[in-house]
Amino acid sequence: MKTILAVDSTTEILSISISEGSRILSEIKDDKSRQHMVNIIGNLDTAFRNADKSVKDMDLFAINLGPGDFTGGRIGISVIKIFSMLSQKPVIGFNSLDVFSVGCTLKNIKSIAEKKIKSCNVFIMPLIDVRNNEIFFSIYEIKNNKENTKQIYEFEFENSRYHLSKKYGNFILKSEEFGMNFSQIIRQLFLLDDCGCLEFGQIFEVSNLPEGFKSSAKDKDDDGRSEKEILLIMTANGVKSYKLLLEKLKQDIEASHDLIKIMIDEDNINPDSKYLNYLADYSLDNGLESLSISPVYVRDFIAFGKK
Amino acid sequence: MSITKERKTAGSVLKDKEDIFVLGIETSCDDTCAAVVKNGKEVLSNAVSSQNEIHEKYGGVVPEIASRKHIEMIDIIIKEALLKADISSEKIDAVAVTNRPGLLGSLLVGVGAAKAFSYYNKIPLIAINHLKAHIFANVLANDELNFDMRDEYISLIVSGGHSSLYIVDKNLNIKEIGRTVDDAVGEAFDKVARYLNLGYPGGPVIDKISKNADPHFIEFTRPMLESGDFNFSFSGIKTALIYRTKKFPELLNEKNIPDLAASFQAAAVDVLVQKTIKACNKFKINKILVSGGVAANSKLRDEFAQAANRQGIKIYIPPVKFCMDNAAMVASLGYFEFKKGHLSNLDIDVYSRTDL
Repeated sequence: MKTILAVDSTTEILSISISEGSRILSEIKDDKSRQHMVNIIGNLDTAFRNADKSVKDMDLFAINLGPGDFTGGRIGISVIKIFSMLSQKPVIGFNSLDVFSVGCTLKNIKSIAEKKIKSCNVFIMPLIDVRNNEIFFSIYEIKNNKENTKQIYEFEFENSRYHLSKKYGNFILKSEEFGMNFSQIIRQLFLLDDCGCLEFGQIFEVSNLPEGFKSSAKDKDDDGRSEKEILLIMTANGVKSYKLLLEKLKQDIEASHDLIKIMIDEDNINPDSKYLNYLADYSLDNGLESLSISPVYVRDFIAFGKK
Repeated sequence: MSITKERKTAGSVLKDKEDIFVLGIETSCDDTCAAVVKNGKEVLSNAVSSQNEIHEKYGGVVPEIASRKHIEMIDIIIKEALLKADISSEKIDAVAVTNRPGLLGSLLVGVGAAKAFSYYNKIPLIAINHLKAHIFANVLANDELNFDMRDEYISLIVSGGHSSLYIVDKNLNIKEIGRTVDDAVGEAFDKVARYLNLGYPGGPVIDKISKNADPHFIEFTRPMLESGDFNFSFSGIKTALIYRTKKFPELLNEKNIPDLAASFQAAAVDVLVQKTIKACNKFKINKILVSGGVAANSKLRDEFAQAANRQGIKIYIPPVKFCMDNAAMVASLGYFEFKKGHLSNLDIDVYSRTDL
């Protein structure tokens, strides 16, 4: 059983947790925003004491690489890198979209389970407000069977197994563009089972659809049922920043598609480090490779060039 | 904080040990540095990861980019310092880290790493003032100077980010007596070099091409020479150069560039040397400590040596590698503070400015 320290300093809430196997031994949340540099060691020490462990007992370190609210993320990254260097134990880093998707899944598992029993497709869309009027997002799917690629987590709930996998890469759009293209994104959700993992460009060019695909909601599924319901859960801090936009999109889509239900999950605004523990534990068990341990940058940094 | 009860105090470390090894960490601007120094003076390693090529295309340091590079390099550079010093991390007795002044996004990478090191090994942490560390580069580099000295000095720090004068008192406390009111001199060098298409950083390249050129080609006004205070101004010389070349475009012919550069350099150096000597005269102090990246400039070093000779003043300037930002000077000052029992808690913050 691996003992894992997870740290998330990407938002105004500093979140730290220590796990052993699947059990969380201690958790700390500190909401003194922009005081992460001052408080991080104190909070780490408290977390270790509460878990009755020391930093030298850790087998693995897990870190949220962002994107987040501000440069606080790199405080956690710097600390964890040194712990890893001194202990010679590895670090696993995750994109905050992954962290939000696990949190959303576990927090809404009852609703999700109900839908899965009825063979609905369930998608999670974490949306992160990365300022500059832009939204950073991706799409994950929850299935009852193991996916071959890009599966990031699996767990059991009421005797059923659930598998969470990432369906797309990461995208960034201005909020207006997001609004305008939202119905196209929804259309793609109907096709995802057939197309597998689509590249970004394909979302917005319906004319590029591979041969033989029908964009109809009335495809038959394995059980011969003629309707395929979809539940899309939107989550992460973008749902707070863009609440009005998303509620409007929800209304519009639900009005024109009987089979789609959109849920706006407002309980998952800040990442929780314990989801890093779960993700890390899963990655370790399944031999998954970590991202490189540096902050996730959503856009190439462009500064003023020479004249 | 209860954490400190478990960690060694300076007193207990000093009692048990003869030799004290300090790990210095410096990330206040764009160079990621780590160094191991024994007993404050013996440099066992001095690792520097510079970011010049990255900021070159912008002609100056871009804070966000600098911060990203620090995060990339911080563990690598600390490891390198330990390796080169042939010392394991457990043998380090204390960690000294720059936490002010500087770029916040850069400082927090170094301080985060230092705190983690200190916490993991349960050793003391010492927060260091970057400017005072530059002054201490002289103590580090010079056998004549040591931590127990009881002398007064006038200290000039000149770099890309700073141009300030200080009095260093008998207890090695520092008090600022003047500073630049606009660009730091190093910044002015960068801007002039960029304007003349000479590359980045500006200091070294202007120094080089000025060597055989004519510093009297244009006699730029020496700003604030008679201001009656110890402040500096350097953007005026830069602006004067630009205006002159706009008025007389032929000045920008390739053959004139070295002379232009040499004239700018002469004006900047002249002001620095003259005002420092004035400070010596006013405060009746006859020892000067010069440091910072621009202290690597050969014209500055020459002029100071000559002026000091004429006036009977003793001048100290470190070797070039300790003029640039480095962690050895941080470790050295750290040792000094450590011996005085000036340890920091693990809840120190970072600051972009400092009031000395």
